[in-house]
Amino acid sequence: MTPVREDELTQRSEFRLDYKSAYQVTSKSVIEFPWLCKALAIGSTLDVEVMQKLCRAATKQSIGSFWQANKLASGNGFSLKRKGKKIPPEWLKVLPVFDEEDGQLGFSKILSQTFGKRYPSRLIESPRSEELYSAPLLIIPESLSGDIGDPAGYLIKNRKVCFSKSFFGYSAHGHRASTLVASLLATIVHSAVFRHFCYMRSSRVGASRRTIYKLDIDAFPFPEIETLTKDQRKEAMRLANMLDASDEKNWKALDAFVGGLFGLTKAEQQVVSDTVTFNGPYAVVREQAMRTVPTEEADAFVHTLEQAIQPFFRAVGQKVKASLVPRLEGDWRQPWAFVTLLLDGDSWTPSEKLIASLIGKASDSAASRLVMPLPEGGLIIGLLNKRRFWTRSRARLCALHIAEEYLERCFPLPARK
Amino acid sequence: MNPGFFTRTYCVPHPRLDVRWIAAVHLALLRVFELIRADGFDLINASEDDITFRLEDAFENRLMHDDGGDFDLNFVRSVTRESATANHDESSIGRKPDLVFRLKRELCQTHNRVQDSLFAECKPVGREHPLNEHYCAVGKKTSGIERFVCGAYASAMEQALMIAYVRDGFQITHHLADTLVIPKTRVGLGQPTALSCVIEATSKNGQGLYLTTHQRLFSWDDGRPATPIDLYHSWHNC
Repeated sequence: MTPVREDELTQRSEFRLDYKSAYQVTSKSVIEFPWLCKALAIGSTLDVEVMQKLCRAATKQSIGSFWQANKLASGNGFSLKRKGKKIPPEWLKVLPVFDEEDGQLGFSKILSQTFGKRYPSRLIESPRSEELYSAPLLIIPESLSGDIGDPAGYLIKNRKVCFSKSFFGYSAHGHRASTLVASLLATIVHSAVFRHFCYMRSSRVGASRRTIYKLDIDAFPFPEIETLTKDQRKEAMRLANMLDASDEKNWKALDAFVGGLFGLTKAEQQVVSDTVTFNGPYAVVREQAMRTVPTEEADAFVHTLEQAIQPFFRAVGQKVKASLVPRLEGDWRQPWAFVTLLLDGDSWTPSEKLIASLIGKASDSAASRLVMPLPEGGLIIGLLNKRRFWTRSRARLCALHIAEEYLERCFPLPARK
Repeated sequence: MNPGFFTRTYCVPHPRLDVRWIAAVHLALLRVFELIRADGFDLINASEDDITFRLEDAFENRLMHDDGGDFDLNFVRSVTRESATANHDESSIGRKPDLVFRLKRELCQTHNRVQDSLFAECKPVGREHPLNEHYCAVGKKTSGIERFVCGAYASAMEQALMIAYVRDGFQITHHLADTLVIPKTRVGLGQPTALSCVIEATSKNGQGLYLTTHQRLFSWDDGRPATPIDLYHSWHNC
């Protein structure tokens, strides 16, 4: 069980157990998928399915196995511990030292001092291998920023650059398609899918420090270069160049490309997007998740719910209609919002008195969702009026719940001719 | 098999599926056949395996992938062909139903998730594949319905699917109904109930969805005799 943090409740030393916060898991499944409990804590069963798909893809080839099989260098940068006893090698002294401020200017604009100038008389613990710093090279910060727009990696295309152990380096130097390999990796680490994977898998992010291990990066799937189409290769290069440019980034195109590489459906990509947007372990994410749901998001929820439940009706010659119940008049933040689900042709609008009564009862119960069958058929669904409960992924989960629990009770089958 | 911390065995039977779930899978099958026909695939001469292969491919790579379409298959986790499963007492773990529709259900962990699916057996039906030799065969390697009755497939479920690739004008209401009343067939296939229509045919290429209920001829691990199974028959003209 994982209570979702809601600041207004925690200030009163209370918490709510959302209906999607409690799961049964077997010891066998936890052993098989060590990330399972964390995935369920941050996301839902839909996130687990995405993870299982990514892990299956990684069994074919992961970033780690690709780098190892091709004998490419990867690892933390140089270590500058105070008790270091090694004299830095000459090749390291002449390399510019990467720092993130340079990266912010654009990945190709490294202006830093050389190692020799920055640390003139410093002994080091380990310089790492020279190959690690060879271009093309992706430098990935171990800290995972809460801002999706922040760089998650820095692509160094054509010069050697050294970096400290606060970064992981993945050099594609020596590979026959080195630029493509580095571009692909740069594109991947900037994607919502990669961020989602880290949220689910990393033992640190969302648990202690917001940093990732190299093991987390290595475990992520990597496409088979030989099977990429010409268009996919071109797109990977274009997206990597987009990351390097100062223009506004098209994150949707990047996410769709990476999701497509690993066969994620649009619905699965939506799960990734919803979790990253509303469930990330950052205050900025939590705050926007707790805001009142805007009308367009509520409409999207209603549309997705109707679309996801429709096959169960269409299959028996019926049609179902989902509608958002208008909010009660008045200048107040209505704590709950409601959706009706009725057979096409039926009509019913709840009275303001009923809605007010439902809000009172629902608030007393500390629930985050209520589903109430209507006497004449159909049902009314109430959800806490907070954005995190109105995502399209939640709409799909809600549709599945209704399909399991309420079809027979609320929607009689049509009489056969 | 022990499900983990729990010391009891898995619960059987699993919660029943609302008939709308099965009807939705039937409708999805009609859609997939439409896609295959539109591709120009030679359904008339294709083997059972070829058609089933096409069905799996069209489900996984087209119908389930294209969620911008007007038929949302969000409720299906995956569709797999000939994935190995265990029979009722796990004395045979290599049983391979032709298609397994894994559904997204809010299932308790006290149920065996591996056995929670809509299992489907696909059979050609026509002059070259007489019903009593294949679809309704008893005691033969080519049997269809019998596999559900003896607990080879879907032992934990109370519903399953029979899919027919129909040729030579065979009709479900005539040929299947007639075969199921043959005494030897009735005994071997668990005294099936009369064929009843669930969904009427809406196109010339599908014959609707029909239901028969069969007694099962095995017991679950706890010694209780298995409850009857509802078999839904989805026939498609090839």
